[in-house]
Amino acid sequence: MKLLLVEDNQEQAQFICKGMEEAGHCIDWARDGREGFQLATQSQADYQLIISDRLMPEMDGLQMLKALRAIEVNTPVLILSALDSVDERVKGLRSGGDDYLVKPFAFSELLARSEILAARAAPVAAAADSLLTMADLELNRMSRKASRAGQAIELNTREFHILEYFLQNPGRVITRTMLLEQVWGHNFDPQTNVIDVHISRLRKKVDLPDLPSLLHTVRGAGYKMEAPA
Amino acid sequence: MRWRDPFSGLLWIYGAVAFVFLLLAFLMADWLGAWYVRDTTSFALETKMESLEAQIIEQQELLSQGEVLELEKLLRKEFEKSGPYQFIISMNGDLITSFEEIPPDFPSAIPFPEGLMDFSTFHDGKEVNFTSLTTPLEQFNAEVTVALDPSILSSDHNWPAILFTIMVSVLGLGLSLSWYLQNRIKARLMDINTTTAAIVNSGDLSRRVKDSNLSGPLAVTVDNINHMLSDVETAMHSTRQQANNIAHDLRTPLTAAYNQLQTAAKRYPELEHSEKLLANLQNTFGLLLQINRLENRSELSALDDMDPYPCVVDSIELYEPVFQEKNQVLQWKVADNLESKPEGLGLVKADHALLMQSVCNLLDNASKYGATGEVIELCIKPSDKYLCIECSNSVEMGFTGGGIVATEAIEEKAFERFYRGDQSRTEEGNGLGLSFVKAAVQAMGGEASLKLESGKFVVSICLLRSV
Repeated sequence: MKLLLVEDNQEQAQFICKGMEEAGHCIDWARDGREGFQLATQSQADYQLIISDRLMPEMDGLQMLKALRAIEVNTPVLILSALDSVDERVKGLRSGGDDYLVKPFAFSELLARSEILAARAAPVAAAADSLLTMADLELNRMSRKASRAGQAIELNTREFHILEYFLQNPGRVITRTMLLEQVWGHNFDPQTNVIDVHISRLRKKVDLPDLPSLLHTVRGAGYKMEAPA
Repeated sequence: MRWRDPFSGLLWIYGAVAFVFLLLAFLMADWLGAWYVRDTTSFALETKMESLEAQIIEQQELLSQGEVLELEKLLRKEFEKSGPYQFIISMNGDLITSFEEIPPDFPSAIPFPEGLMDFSTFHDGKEVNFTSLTTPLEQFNAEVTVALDPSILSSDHNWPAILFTIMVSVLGLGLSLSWYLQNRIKARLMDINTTTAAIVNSGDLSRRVKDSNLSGPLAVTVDNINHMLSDVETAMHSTRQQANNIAHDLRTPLTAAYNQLQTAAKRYPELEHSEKLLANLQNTFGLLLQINRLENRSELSALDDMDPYPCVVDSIELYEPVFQEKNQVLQWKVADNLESKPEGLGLVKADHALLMQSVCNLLDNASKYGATGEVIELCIKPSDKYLCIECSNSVEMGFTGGGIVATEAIEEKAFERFYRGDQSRTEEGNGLGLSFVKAAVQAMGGEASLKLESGKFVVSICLLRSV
C-alpha cells in the first residue's frame, strides 16, 4: 500500500513512517498541508491513502482536504487530531475525511484503520458476494447461515455481523473500537472488556475443537481472522 | 396558581377591590341618593333661612314692631324671585303662606321648630312632598317656615349617580391600563425567559435578550442580563480554548511518549505493562477532558428529539454476554403506562452517543459491582417532565467494597471524579464512570441521581421529555 503522511511534528512523523514501513507499506511524508496538497496532486501520485494531521502551519489538514476534494481527488483521508470533541469530529468528516483518529493513538489502531480504509476504497468484487469464505468457514449473507467444515453454526444477529466484518477483511487487524463502530455503530470507547466477551463467544462457535483456529487475538491491537498457512 | 404570579395577582386584587366597591356603590346607591338630597336640602334651607334673617335684620327699621303685614310683604317680595322656595308664617294659630293654598298637613302650631320637617301639598296642580325648616321670629311672636321641593335637587344634579359613573369609568380605565401594562411587562419577561431557556436547551451562549426599545428598570435588567451573557460567553470561550490548548499541548508529548514506549515494548516485552498503564492514563485523560467539555457545554452542539428505547435495547444487547459470563440475569421492563402508548416511550431531548455511553456505563457498573448470579434490574418509567432509566443492583459486595459506608456519603460522593466505593481499588475502572454519566445527562438537560434503598444500589438517568 502506498501512503502519504502529512504531519508537521517530525518525531510523530518518523514514528508513523517507521511503523508503516515495518508493516510493509510505502510511505511519503509531507511537512505541511501545502506540501501535502502538491504531493497528492502530482500526476504520478497513486496514493491509496492520505494520513493527515489536523493542525499544521501554512495550510492545515482541513484546508488541504477541502482543496483536494474540490479538484476531485478522492483518495481516502484519515485525519489525525488532538481535537476530539464531537463538533471537531463532525467538522473533520464533513470536510471530506473518511476516518478520524484522536491523538494519542496506538500505532496498531492507526495501522488497522489505514489498511481497512485503503481496502474499502479498492474495488473488490468479493465485498458484494453473497458467500464469504475462509478455509472451511462459510457465511451466506443471503440465507444468513454460517457453517464450519460442513457443520452449521448458530449465530445471533450481532455475531453474524461481527463474522461478516472479519470475513470482509481477511488477514487484517481489526481493533475493538473499529468493531464497535462498524458492527454496533457506536463512536465511543467503552473502556471495558465488552468487545472481548463478544469475540470470546464468537470464537467458541467458530473455532470448533479439533479444527484450526481462524480468529486470532493480536496483542495490543485487536483481532484478525486468518486462514491457517 | 394565579396568586403565585404577582402580576396576575395584582390584577386580580385590583379587579376584586373594584368589583366590591362598585357592588357596594350599586347596593347603596338609593341610600346615598336620599342622604345626599336630604343633606343638600338641609344646607339649602339653612342658607335660605340665614339669608332671610339677614334681610329682616337689615329691614328692621322699615318693619314696625310686631307688624305682620309688613313682614308678609317683605317675604312675598323676597320669595317671588326665590324660585322653588316657599314660605309659611305661623302666628297665633294663623298661617300665612306663599303656597296657593295652605298645605293641609301643615301644623298650625310648631312646638319644636328645630330640624327639618316634611309635609305634602298640592302645588302647580300636583301633589308635591316638601321639606321645610322653621325658625321663630320673636319680635313678631311668630314662626317662619321655608319649604323646598327636594326632587328639584335630585333631578337637576344627582351627584351620587355622577360620582358612581365617574368611579366606574376610572376603575374600568385603571383595570384596562393595568392589564395592558402587565402584558407589556410580561412580554419583556417572556423575552428574558425565552432567551435563557433557549440557552439552557441549546447551550448557545451567543443568544441575547431582545432589546424592545425599553427604558427604566426593566431595560436595565435586560442590559444587565445581556452583559452577563456576554461575560459568560467570553469566559466559556476562554475555558474551551484552554481545554483545547491543554488537549493539544498535552496530547502531542503524550503521543510521542506512547509511541516510543510502543516501539520499545516490541523489543523489550517487560515494557508491555508500562505501555498498558500509559494507554489507561491516556484514556483517563481523554475521559476527563470529555467530562470537562460536557460540563462547560462545549461537547454538544444540539440535542435531538429521540426515542430512547432503541438505545436502551442496543446497550442491553451489547452487555448481555457480559452478564451471562458472570451468570448475572438482567431483568428489564418498561412501566405499564408507557407500554400502553401506541407511539412507544415518547421522545426525549438527548444525544444518541452520550445516552448510549451513559446507559452502557450503568450496565457496566451494575455487572462489575454486582455479585455473581445476581439479578440486575433495569426499568424505564415516567417521572413528571422526565423519562427515567433506572438501573439497580445489590450493594452486598459491590460499591461499598464490603465495608460499612454511610448511605448519604455514597449518594453524595458517587458522582465525584475518581470516587471509588471500593476503597482498595481492586476492581477495574477509573472512577470516572458515574461522573461521566452525570455530566452527560446534565448536558442533555436531564438529571442523574443515585440512591441506596432496600439493599439496592439504584442509579437513575432522567431525560427531559420533548414537548
